[in-house]
Amino acid sequence: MTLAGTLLAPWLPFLSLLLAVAVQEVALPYEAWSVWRPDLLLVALFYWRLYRPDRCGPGSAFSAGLTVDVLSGGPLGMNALSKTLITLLIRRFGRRLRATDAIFLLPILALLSMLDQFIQLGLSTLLQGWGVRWPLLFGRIAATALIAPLIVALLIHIHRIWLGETPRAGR
Amino acid sequence: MLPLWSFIRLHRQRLTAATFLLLAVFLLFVLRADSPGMQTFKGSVANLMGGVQRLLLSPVEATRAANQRLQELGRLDEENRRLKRQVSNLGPMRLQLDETLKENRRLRQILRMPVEPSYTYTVARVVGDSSSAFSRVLLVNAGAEEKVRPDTPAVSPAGVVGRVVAVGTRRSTVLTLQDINSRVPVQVQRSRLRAVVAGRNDQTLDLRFVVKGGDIHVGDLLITSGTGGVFPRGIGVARVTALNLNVDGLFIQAKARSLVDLDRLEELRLMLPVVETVPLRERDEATITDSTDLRPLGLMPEASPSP
Repeated sequence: MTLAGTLLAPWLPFLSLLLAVAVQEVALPYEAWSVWRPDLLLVALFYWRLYRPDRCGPGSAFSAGLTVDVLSGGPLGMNALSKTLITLLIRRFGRRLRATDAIFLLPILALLSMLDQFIQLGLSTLLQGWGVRWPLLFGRIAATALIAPLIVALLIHIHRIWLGETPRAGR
Repeated sequence: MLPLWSFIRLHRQRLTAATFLLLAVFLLFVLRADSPGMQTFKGSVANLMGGVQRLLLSPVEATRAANQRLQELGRLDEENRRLKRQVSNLGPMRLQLDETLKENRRLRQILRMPVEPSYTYTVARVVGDSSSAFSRVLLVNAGAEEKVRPDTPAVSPAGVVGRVVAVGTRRSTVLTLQDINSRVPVQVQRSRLRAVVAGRNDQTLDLRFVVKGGDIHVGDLLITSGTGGVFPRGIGVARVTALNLNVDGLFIQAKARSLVDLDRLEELRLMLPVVETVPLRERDEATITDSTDLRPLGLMPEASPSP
């Protein structure tokens, strides 16, 4: 691996989180398509927290979530809080999840996405009153679960090429 | 080793997580999001992420631009001929508008009313859409370099889109009318009845503070009232879609629908006030130049039918 690669490799998980935010916040040609806007950040966070927890901690989740908050114009800290809580959950059940067959991780990811959306719904209601678009909320959960295999395959590719297995991954 | 240090080492993960959770709670419930420091921070993030998005979308943008250019070239010749005919027809109308503007300024001076500030426009492309179940915000490719500031009104030919809430060097975020945090003072164009349009995070808008017995009907056009100091007077905002008169209290419940179709919004115009307004002297004349865009003020039709 080149020197640049060696220096860059440790930052790849965090950079991929930022890239996921940039892609998921891109303008879609039709606003109606927003119903199918997946939460790519959650997928990337799920993968890295599960398989490289040493490179993706609460700090990464907080920073990426805060970036989403700034870009979305919502209450500052809403995504940061929900994503940090999600990383704690993944850490809590990490060992069991890593032992689970990949196909069963999809419903778990959908469940996490739902939890993430409902945490945000709670905070949003608390801070700015009731106002939620249910199709967008449930559409995001479905889209996240559906696109997850593709994103995870990409992340596995990055993981294998740039980052080795970590001895701390099984902790 | 000190007991505190060993405690920190032992619970490093938990302590880090707790710190970030507390920080998030602090941001949510304590920090003022509109402080100058936060505005700078938001502008920087919008710049950084806008740059990444631009890089990601560059192949898509290039293909789309080439395709559009090819289509436009085919139509340009015909449009050019049509526009020349229109310009010759608009001559008398322009003269009339010019006269009306001069008269308006003279009368305002006589009445000692402040002359409304004039605006220039900068066109911006929508490069990011952060629509979620809880917000409706757009990222556009114009920022401080184009003299965009917080609270700059964003309009489309159809009407008000929203206002700028965060400004980066080359990027800004626009809070749309539909966002739950959006409030725009309006008045009914027909009866001049005042109200406030509030977003609900969906397609419909709430019309608040409409007094019982006020002269308002379904289908009425709502325009900006000019109060609040953000939007200039007379720009189209929404149409009244529903009224519920049978409610308790001083006000009725009303719903409206935005004139702008956000579904198809690709470009918008940011209204930049011309700050250095020279007071009109006796011999001065108000003039309409070719660059003066009167459409958002409702003084000119969008497009005249071709002869």
